[in-house]
Amino acid sequence: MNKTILTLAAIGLTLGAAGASQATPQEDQAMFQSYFMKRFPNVPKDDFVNGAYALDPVGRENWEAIEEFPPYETAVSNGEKMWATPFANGKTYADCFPDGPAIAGKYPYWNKDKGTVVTLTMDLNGCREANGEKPLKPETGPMAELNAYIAFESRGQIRKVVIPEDDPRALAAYEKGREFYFTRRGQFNFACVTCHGANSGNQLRSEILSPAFGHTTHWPVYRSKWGEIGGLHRRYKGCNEQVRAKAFEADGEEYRDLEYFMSYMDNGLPLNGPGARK
Amino acid sequence: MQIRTLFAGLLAATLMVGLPTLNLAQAAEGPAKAQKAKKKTQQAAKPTAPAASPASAPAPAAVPAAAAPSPAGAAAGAAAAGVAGAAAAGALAAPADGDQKAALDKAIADAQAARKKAASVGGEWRDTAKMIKQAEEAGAAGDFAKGLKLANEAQKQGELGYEQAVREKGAGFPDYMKKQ
Repeated sequence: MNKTILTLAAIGLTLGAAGASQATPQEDQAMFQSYFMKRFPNVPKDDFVNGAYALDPVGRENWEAIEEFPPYETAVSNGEKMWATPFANGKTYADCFPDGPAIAGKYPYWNKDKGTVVTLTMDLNGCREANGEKPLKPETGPMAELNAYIAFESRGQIRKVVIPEDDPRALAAYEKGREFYFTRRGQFNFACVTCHGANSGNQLRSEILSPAFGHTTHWPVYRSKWGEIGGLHRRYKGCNEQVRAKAFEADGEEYRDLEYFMSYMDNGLPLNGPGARK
Repeated sequence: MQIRTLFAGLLAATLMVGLPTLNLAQAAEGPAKAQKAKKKTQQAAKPTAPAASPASAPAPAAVPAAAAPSPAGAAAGAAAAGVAGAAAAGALAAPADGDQKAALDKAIADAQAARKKAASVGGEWRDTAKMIKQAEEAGAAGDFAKGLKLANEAQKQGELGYEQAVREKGAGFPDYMKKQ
């Protein structure tokens, strides 16, 4: 009798522990994508790349009209010039990225040697420094313009972020990014998911909250609010400040890991940057 | 005769019990009164005693000599001018400013410590550092009450930000996503 009770208890504990353990990134991704596709059954999967415009027909009409003369066009042109203009040593970005400029689909990635998530802006700045140039501010100005050109050239590439299984640090970075996404912060006590999870599709003042699925595909973005083009980490900073939390540094570890997690959630979606948003 | 003897005995007994009690109470009250008297004296001299600031508080910034005269200086000046009352009033007002400054400095230091603690776990709030700066500016402009209010609010934000970050540790997918 006692043996039976002990055995049942052991089985229960084992099952409980298994249930409590964190899901794998693949399981997370399936759950995440399935949640949004069930929440918005009329939105085709690939249309999630268009954010709130996938949900709001009137907003979409406006946005499509804006896209006829895209406000990011100048940024793309400036970025193209930057790509082709030699550094002081005569080399160009193409020397660092021989398969460029359509390279956005490779980012972000886990760099085993550096032991960190690497973003496109980090590699572009790395290229500049290797050629004797000063690094650029990652989320605005010329770097955002260079990114706009690269994103434009990369349109249609499919998001396929990899979390290498041979380096547990990559999984740790993914998990940190995941924790960041779901952590409530700031005076308003909001997490990213507070607005873009169960409240996605709802109206916040005059705006419709976009679903989290597809959030990383269209960067950099020309925002009417900014009056210029800016990167994903600039938006992260803005979101954090909106909930009255202190923002982190663009290209700092916190936002790199967050981008890693969010991009992994978007795996399978086509890239459609640069974008135009309000 | 017997009744008179009885009253006399009762009176004697009352005196024997009551007098020592009264003496003891007076004896106990004595040091307290002496203490109060001493305190009053100290308070009169307090204007000149910056030692009233908490030991842990950072040293207050230089206060103009005219606003915070030294005790000895104030006393000497008052005597020389023959306006002891006016001098005493001035000396009392100046130290009050010194105390407020010290209190503000301590509140700002506490707020900074709370902010840094929150930042150490990634829980700093957007406006905390700004409020501390504003508290410093208010103090520099002599508005200690405003500065103190801001510093206390900033400290509260730092504490709440820290608690929030610790509470949120390990956050993950919400149940509504898991149970679809």
